[in-house]
Amino acid sequence: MTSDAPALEVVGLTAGYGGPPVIESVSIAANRGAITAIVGPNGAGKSTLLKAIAGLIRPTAGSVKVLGVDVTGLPAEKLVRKGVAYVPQVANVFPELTIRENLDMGGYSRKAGVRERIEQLFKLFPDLAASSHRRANTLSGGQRTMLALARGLMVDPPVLILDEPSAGLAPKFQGLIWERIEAIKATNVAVLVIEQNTRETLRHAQWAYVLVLGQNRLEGPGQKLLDDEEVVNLYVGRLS
Amino acid sequence: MLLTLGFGIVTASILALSAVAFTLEYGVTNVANVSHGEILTVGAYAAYLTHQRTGSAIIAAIAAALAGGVVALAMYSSLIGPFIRFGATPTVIFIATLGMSFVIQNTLVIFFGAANVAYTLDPGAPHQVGPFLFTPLDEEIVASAIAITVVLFLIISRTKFGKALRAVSQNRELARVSGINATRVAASTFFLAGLIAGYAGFVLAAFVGSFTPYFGFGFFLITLTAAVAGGLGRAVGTVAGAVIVGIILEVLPALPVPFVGGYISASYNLAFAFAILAIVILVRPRGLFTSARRTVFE
Repeated sequence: MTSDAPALEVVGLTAGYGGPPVIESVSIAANRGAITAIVGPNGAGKSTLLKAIAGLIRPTAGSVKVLGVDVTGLPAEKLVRKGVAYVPQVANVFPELTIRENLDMGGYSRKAGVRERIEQLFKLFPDLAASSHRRANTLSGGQRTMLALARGLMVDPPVLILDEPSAGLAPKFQGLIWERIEAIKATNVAVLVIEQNTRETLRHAQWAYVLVLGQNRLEGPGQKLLDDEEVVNLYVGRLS
Repeated sequence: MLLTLGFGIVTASILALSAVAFTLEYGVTNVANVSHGEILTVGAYAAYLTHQRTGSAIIAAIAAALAGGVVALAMYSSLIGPFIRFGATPTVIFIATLGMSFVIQNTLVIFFGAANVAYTLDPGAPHQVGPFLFTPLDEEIVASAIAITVVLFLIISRTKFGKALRAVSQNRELARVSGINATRVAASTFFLAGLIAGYAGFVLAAFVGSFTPYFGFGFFLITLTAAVAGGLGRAVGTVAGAVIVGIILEVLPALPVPFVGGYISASYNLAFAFAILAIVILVRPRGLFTSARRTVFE
């Protein structure tokens, strides 16, 4: 929380895929140097919200501000230049490009410093450095997720949006991914994340929103929501 | 036999140009542009008209390429691109481009009539090249096809545009969130493919000696075979597929039919082409030269 205005501010966002809206009047904010989580049951519209913020679908109402600048309705390829990096849940790497080429592509909108940025990221993700000439489709699930994160970070984004980064990974890798996300947060990035594993996510999140049926339901510090009987009963479950 | 093999090499080079252009269009949109053949047809007409006025085969070649590029760009920006942005399924776009194909054919009929247009370049005196008998025209066609293919591969593998093209082709959404303007990359790719296909239309017309408004469509069917055989959307495999299909198509009719004697008429070419296609799909649905775990129709 280094500056007063949030890095990402979404107000009253409504969006969908042409039919009835999937998310309606959703408002969230994410600060730099913090992890902000969006949790909620399947079909709550979490992924749709992220796509609308990232410019992949056009919102029909509401506004999105990045670092105080209105970016509502900008297409994805322009939004990345405004400081928003988005890492999709699936298909999040270019399968037939090498690790290095994937990172090159991540830095496509950079005017300079692509090579230097790759070297920096190789320090954060040493696994990738060791196999930089391997094609992404030969990587394990965990390595692939690391590459997807690194690709998003190529633009040095103030705002990093992650769609279920640990989905489908072995527990060992899930821990590793969270370690990296914490490290990214520490570099003054606003991390906005949605996750299936609600309990783990709430443990890491400084602030979390509960989204139900496409609308804001609750919000609060992650740990506090974890202690909330209603949240745990409805959206977290006792066993996970 | 060797003579037809020589012919086969020329046919294969033209086929390679057409197929690699088609595969570029496919790769960047993931839909088959059924009106691809009309780019060749327009190229042939542009070459013919320019040649008549200027008397220069080189200017005719450039005109064919440019006309092809413009037509392909128009196909993308007026039809295929908008359909993709509105989220149309590949089947819908397939049908739409088939319609586009008929529109272009019949527009050409209105302006030029449906009759055969004779278009012959002086092929020069044939001479022996290794085991083959080639005319200077044959040699120029093969050499230009090789040169164009090499330049294209350098563009795809070395340039920033080439990398963006591969990125869009592999994952359009991820390319966009990486800051690549997918629409602009696709439009540029269509223009590039159109340059190649327009030129291919010119050399095909010159090699065959005549053309009609329908001639590109017939060649498109063979192009499709070559592209699918090689692995749709994959440039290297496509060129290999084109060489194989092109040679088979020229050599098969020259072989005596076993037991019966006599030869198969070359007018069965299309039947052969689709027989090859059927066999490839049965045996290697991903194409002959691909290892990725996806079929060409995914």
